[in-house]
Amino acid sequence: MASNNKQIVISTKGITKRFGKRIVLDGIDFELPKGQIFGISGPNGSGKSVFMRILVGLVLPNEGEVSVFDQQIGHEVEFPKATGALIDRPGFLPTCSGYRNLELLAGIRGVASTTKITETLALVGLDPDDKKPVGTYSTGMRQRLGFAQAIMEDPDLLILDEPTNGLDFDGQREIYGQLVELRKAGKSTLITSHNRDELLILCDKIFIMHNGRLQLVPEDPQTEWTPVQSEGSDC
Amino acid sequence: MDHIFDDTQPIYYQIVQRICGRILRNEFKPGDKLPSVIDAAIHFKVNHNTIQRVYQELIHQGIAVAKRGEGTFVTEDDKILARLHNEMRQSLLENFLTEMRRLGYSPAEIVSTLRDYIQTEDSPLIEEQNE
Repeated sequence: MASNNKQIVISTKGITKRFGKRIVLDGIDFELPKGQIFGISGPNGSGKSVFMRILVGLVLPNEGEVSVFDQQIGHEVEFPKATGALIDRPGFLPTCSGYRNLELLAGIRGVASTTKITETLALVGLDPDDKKPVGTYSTGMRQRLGFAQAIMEDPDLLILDEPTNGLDFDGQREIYGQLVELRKAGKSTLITSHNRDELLILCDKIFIMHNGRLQLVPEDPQTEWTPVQSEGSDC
Repeated sequence: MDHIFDDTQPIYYQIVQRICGRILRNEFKPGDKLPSVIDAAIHFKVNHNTIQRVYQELIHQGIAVAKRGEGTFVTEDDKILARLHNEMRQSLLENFLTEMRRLGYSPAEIVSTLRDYIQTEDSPLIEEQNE
């Protein structure tokens, strides 16, 4: 349902990535419109994570272009602006608390305030006053902290690689709620997931990474929904 | 089994029917909060937009009420619930009669067959009355 007026947040043309002789990404053209949640599914090693890393500027493609918010990654800018990312296992300072870790990140980027850090930690289900070092965190807690750092600065775009990895059902459910709320607020999200139900629940469009290319999964014609704004609905 | 749908009607409509069924069986009581959009999406394994559409339809029919910031609630309006009850009853009767006519029963035969069934010992209705 692309319209000429729709703002495109991520645009890639001909993205190709090789590791040695192996072609991992084979000329990918992709667009993410504003205010949508798109999902990419595919087996381990299919190239999903490499694609995500190229989008945020951590890896350069061998060929092709990436634009995020109309800025070419790797040319005009190194990393996309107004973007929160959670890729691979989140890296934190193991001897510092969750709060301190976010504070340091905020200090580097200079955007999030004390209040914002506290609110974000509470939002993801972590105790802002918890002094336990991150090194003692469970996988689920680390994942929550990783999500916190991704949303902390109110990004307009979220790029999330397997965001519910290691989370129990309640944790997953909370993330789904956050992402749908962010979508209502006009934010855009690209996620990867193994979990087909998760993609079904969240995504406006689902793609499969196969042989280095993205294939759109056709919508079930029965689904027949159009996004509506419902005042009373909560997440 | 709630995530299984047939292809005769749009999925959102089938979900509307299922929720109405739960309301009529008092599994959702008047004034009860319906599941959040996400919880319903997880339960039925459908996109959250489909649930939004379901809730929009329920609100449009007056069966549910939106309370901003709180969620979607079953109406407490007796007239609407009575109307829903009547509509469900009519629908069941229409389905039953249509099928019986297809089998070749005349209206008089349908009435007598139904009466006989209700009065037989094996009838689950008699068992309920005897409890």
